[in-house]
Amino acid sequence: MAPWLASGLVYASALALTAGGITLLYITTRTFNFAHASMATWGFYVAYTGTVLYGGSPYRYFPLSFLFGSLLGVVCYVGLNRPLLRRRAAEITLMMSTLGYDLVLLSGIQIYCDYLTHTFRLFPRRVTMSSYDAEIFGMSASPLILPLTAILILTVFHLFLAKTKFGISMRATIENPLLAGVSGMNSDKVYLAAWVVGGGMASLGGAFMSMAMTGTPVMGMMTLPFMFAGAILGGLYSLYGGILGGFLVGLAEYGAVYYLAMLGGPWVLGYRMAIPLLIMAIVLLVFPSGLAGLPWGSLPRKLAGAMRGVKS
Amino acid sequence: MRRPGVAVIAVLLVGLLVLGASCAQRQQAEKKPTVETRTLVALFPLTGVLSTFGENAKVTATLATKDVNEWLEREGKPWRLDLKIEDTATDPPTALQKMKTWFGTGVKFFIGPYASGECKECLTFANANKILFVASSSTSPALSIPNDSLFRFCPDDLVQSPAVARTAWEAGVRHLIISWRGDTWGDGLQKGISEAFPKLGGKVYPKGIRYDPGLEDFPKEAALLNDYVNDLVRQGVPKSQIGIVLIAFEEVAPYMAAAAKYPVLKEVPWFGTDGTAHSAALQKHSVAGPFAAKARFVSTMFAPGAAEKSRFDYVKDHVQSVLNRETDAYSYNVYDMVWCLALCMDEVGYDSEKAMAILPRVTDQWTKVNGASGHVVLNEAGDRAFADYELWYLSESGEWEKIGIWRGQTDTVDWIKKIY
Repeated sequence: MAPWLASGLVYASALALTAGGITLLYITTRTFNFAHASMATWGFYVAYTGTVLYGGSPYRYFPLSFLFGSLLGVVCYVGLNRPLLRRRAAEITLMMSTLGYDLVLLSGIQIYCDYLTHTFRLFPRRVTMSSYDAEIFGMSASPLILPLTAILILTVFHLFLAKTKFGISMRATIENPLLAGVSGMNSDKVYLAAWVVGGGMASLGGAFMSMAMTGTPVMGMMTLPFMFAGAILGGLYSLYGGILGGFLVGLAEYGAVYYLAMLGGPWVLGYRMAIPLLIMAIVLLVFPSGLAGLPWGSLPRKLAGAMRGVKS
Repeated sequence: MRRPGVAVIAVLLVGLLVLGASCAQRQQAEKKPTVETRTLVALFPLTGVLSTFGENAKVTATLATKDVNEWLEREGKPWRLDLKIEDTATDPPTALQKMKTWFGTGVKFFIGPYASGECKECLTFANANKILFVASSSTSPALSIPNDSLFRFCPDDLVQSPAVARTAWEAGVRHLIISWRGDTWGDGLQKGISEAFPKLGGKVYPKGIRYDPGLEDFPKEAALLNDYVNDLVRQGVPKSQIGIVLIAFEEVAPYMAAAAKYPVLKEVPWFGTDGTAHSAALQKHSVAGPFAAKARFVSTMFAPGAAEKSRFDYVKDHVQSVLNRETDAYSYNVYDMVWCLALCMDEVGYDSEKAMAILPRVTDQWTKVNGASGHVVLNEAGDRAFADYELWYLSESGEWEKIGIWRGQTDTVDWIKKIY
């Protein structure tokens, strides 16, 4: 597998998780979570700390990254989001409150980096986690393991939503909070669960991301536009659309940019950030509801019909 | 029922306390002469792509301030230097915003910022407000301007570009591929090297890779470099005649980590500049460090002239004890900058315009004897005027080794150790 494609797959898996988390929080609590940036970075630092201080593969510490992200999510919900939701705060207020929380988390990351630098003489501000990666079939494990792990997590989450009682009540609350409340469902628990899962997905996504790119204190902040692009591409109201959107944006950033640079010259690299966002804009122009608005059921039939039309 | 007597007693007690405190304060003031505080603000990249340099600079500036204040106390001077360190995040708008904020509180003396892009951002504001700022590592020729507010304790890249080109030529390279960070500094050096190398008879590959300075991962850039080297090989150019110049700061580490995935990129020699020489990020990187050694990555770094009682070892040992690593050449400049500005303040007071006028003389006099970075002579543009460059190589043992010196006057390399 070409190295750029391997990195692209890992990065796309990371974006799928983080974009899924953003979508989940938006459809449950109407909150665009800007703190996703630093939650993702914290996820990376949890995995990094475990790997360099306690040894072993970074994958061992990924569950801890998820749990730490969940904890950050709970703090955000209990400390900020819930009080604001109870006051019926506007979406912009909810969004800005998470931006403030993100800045607090970012400061915490910087302090933590100083602590690692001065106490353990580490070099935590520029980390290549892939150097700790294991090997499978003579190649890095992450391009195989991480996409599969992302799919596994999302399948488990799908089963949770579709098959468990709490999952069904969660979906009901997402679709119609008022009716769900009248039916006796506890929306507060549902929102809390959304922050537990959303925060966890953000941090786990950050840990994944560090296996593809350099881990820095601002890693999450640098990739936040792409996380949002993935969520928006997915249609914002569909969890699965968000996940797919994140994956496509991630692959576009690596694959499309590389091929365009190969064909058109290296100047294309300067538009690295613009290209996936442009793809997102084009998709939304054609399908205003994003990927979730695509007629997935009839799509193969329509495509086949279109192909037949072209042939005749 | 209210009792007015209690209130009266309380008021009297408070009054007595205030009177007593003010008397005590006056007595203390009479005993001790007032010590004035003069603020020097350091704009360092404590985060971002120059963060290692920023950390080193913070340690050396703090050391210099301590030394200055001890000297002021010994000499019985009526003022003390107060160093305030700010993080610019290696981001030009942030650097300017910090400068404006401190200027608003009356500060007119700054050291830093580090990158040329940051200095350029601050220059207009500093010129308009007569702010004296001294940079330790900005090397862009675009900022080599006489009578401006910016002084630089390092030479500009018009000197460095031929040094890189000659080093590559001496290494047997005849085809150069250049990749550089797309900022004032990177663009200037790329242009200089692209002009200097053909003058020696070499060819610069037409597709150079200019990347976003904020970039932290380079799989696409490494893939393109691999394509370009293979393209030259297909054209019949021997690998020994192909060289890669990487004009980068600390992102050199992730760049080389990405390049390490392509075997052919290890087989051609790489060249760097003062942005990568002594990079701790590269040295400590488990993938990029060994790759740099394998690719014989040689970086240029200006060679300071000798000082009579140089504080080089003193500063070096101090950084080693605090950060457990060898410091970079720019941090020695920082130590000298703090001292020179303090001496200017001592001579003309907290007046930046007068200080600008005497800074070249004070710098010359102080660094000739004490300079940690050697003897600093500033040219008419306020930049360091030395013209020799040391060649540094990250060896397989993981240590930076000096392997040669490029002589500016003769455009020749004196090799200390042959690696080609």
